Amino acid sequence: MIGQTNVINKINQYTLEQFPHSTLLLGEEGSGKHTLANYIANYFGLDLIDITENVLEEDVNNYYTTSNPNFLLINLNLITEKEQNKLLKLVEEPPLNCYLILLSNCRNLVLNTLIYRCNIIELEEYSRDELQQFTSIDIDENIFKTPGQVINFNFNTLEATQELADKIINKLQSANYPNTLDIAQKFNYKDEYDKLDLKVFINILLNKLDKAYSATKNKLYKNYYLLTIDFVKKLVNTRLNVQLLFENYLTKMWKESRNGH
Amino acid sequence: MDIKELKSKIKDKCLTNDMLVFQYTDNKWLVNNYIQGIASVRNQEIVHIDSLNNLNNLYDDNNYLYVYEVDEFEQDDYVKFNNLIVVTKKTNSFNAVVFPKLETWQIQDYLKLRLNGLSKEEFDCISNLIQQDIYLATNESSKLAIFPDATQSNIFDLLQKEGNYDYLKTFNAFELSNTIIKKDPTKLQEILNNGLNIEPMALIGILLPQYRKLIKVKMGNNVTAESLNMNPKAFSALTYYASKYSCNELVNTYEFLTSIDYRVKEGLLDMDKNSLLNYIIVNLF
Repeated sequence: MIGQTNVINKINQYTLEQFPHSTLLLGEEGSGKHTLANYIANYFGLDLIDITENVLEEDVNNYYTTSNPNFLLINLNLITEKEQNKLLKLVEEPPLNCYLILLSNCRNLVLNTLIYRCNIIELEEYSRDELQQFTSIDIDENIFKTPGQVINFNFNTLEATQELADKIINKLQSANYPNTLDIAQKFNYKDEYDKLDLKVFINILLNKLDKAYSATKNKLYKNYYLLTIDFVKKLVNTRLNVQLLFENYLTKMWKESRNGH
Repeated sequence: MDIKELKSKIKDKCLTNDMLVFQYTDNKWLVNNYIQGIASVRNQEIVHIDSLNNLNNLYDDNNYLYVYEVDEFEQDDYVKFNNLIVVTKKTNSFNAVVFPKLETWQIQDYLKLRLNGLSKEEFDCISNLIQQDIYLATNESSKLAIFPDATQSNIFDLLQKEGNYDYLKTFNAFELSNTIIKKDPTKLQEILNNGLNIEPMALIGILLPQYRKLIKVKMGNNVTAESLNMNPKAFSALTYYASKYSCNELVNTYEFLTSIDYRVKEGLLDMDKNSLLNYIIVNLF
């Protein structure tokens, strides 16, 4: 596994008998949670079985009780909070010979009652050198935060993404509202790989806003920055309609651009 | 060939077995009626096919009328099958028979023909409920048309008392959204009095593109019916409705609508369906 040195070192200190029976891996989308789960299972020489689809069936305990130990994976991003509640007993008393690994993009999306019952491993940030190992194209560390972003990014769209970020910073004040909303059409929300990547765009925008504010101390750039950070925090919830959220963010940015600056 | 010529040839039983392309505008009701008419005159069984490849060995069989439905049809000189009707919304075929959208008066005439036994009040009642939906018109008039004119009035009365037409009175999300866009308080009161059975997120899904269009019309540059892919009448209506809003109001409305999904899923609007619907309506009206 590339990166996550401290996390790997901690895991390597365990024997199977010592390893917690319920572990929660926390990290944003594309940060390597599945890869780490596979690493853990391989390290102990066991299978990793994804039971997310079957986990709410009543007979899961009987189904998974075997003489050979297994790691069972549950992706909390794919189930609702009400469904998480039903996992409490399973997490507290996993089936015999089973080790549970739960995945989530964000602590706030996990019930506290589940968090208290798990050993928590938070994935670390990646350095530029570590991210560079995922592509042969030279990358700027401020653009990408996770291996997933690097692997899934269409580098043909990089220039257009940077230009759009520049336009928002420099020209939003003179743009009309319909054209501002049309920006949302340029992005990939589902398998449209020729369109722009929203998370990479936001990384670029934040970086440019930070530099713009440092250079000019223009309050408008600071307010844009704060609105963008607020938008990023909301993006963590994968159940939201991202396009609607983005249009809401663009509306706020447009209003701010006319707010007496 | 135009539709009049087609109708005449069917009546005179001189329509050849050559391939036909039927291009519809709004819905396929009229197209389907003509297909039934042609099959009936030729004494053919209608067979729907998924692909023209299925026809290779069959096209000379005069026992069947093959119907192929496709969204867009490119006329190819090599594609010449007998006993085939292609039904499409868009085509480059010069010989396509274009079926126009049914006008309200045509639907009314159709109803009058079938419901000759109803009084004017009864006819107006059922006509108002059906509005411009030809499928509803066919469905509801069929229930009465099987009876002789002399008894239709009694049957209508009976069906009304049994609540047969109650489902037509249920307002749907489209009507509610139109009422909101038009800022029509009278109609809104009527809808609310009838009770609402609408999913809030379905209403949001319908309102958002409508408000986007209003925003384009009100706040865009050089906006035309063509640029919005609308017919001129609909564009004129939209321009009129947009005049009822200020720019600020449209922006704030759009911000409100795009916030609902997030607020519901984050538990910030923890309400039952009806309360959420009322909350949305109150904030928009």
